[in-house]
Amino acid sequence: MTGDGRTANPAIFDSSVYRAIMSLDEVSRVCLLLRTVGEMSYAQIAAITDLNENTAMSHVFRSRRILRERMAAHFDRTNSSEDGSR
Amino acid sequence: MSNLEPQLLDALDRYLDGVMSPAEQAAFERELRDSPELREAWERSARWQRDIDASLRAQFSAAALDLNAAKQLRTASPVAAPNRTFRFPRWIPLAAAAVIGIVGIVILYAVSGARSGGVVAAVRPTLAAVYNATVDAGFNPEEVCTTRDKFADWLGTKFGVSLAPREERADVTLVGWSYTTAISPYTGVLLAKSGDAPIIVALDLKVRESGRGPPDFGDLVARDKKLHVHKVVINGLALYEVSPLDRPRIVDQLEPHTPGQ
Repeated sequence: MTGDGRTANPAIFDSSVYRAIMSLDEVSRVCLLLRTVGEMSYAQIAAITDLNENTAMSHVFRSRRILRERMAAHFDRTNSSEDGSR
Repeated sequence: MSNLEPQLLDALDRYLDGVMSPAEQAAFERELRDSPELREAWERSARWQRDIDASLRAQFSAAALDLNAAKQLRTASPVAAPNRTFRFPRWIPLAAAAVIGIVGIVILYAVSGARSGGVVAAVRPTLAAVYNATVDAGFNPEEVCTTRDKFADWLGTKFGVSLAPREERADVTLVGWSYTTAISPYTGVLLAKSGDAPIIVALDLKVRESGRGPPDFGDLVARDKKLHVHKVVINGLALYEVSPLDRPRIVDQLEPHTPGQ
């Protein structure tokens, strides 16, 4: 069971995502939030952060990979232990 | 997913982000059809990405993502912000303090940068996200504060307004202080408890809300924790009490207070 963490328990999933994004460096966090929550183009993100567009994009992709890997590691492990305890 | 070549990982990121040109996209989709390993990585990544994006949108305020606000804050002087960790001892001669102050300003600009402060302020977490994260992390303050005097002293030092609850209340226990960026980069968070119910009070100078609107708490009741928010403004300080309780326990009890009296 993968990728259904938020559907199963939004509160726990959201807290994990919050901790993960707050552990990112500031610039990466800002780039990811501007892209995902603000739905900004990379040109807009570059304008607001003074980064160039490719760098802003790299921050977003790197941050997403980190978050995906952390959520997968956490919730796949949780689901495996739940399956194993049944 | 990690077994893919870096070039394919980059392509996967670009595909998920929707920034590929039509030609790139067609080529990548051919690759998806031909490579079971890539297809599996894409399906798995897309599922997690969907959940993570939904979570971020639920916890961070789109209303706060304001280019103009961030640019205005970018030029704001960092010396106007309350100092969280350091207070100049009173015995330092004025001239030395001035020199240190100037050096401090230069370092603040060089290291943290007015840019990052402004941008951070433009992507604020919602009060619900702050509440839930604080509770889920064990409700541990960055600074312990359990008395009215310490409460008033902290507020006076950080925000220039000395307030404290009217009286020691048996049903409220002060725990301490933390910080968030819910209102500005300098927002304080008071942690307290009423019985078993955790309470946070996010507070900041009212002027820091100007032009950017108050923190977003529209999703408070959408969560399983059923939170309530109570706001007051006292002497230029905006205070948002967040808890599962339907009545405020702290913000309605505050009054000016001089520590030691």
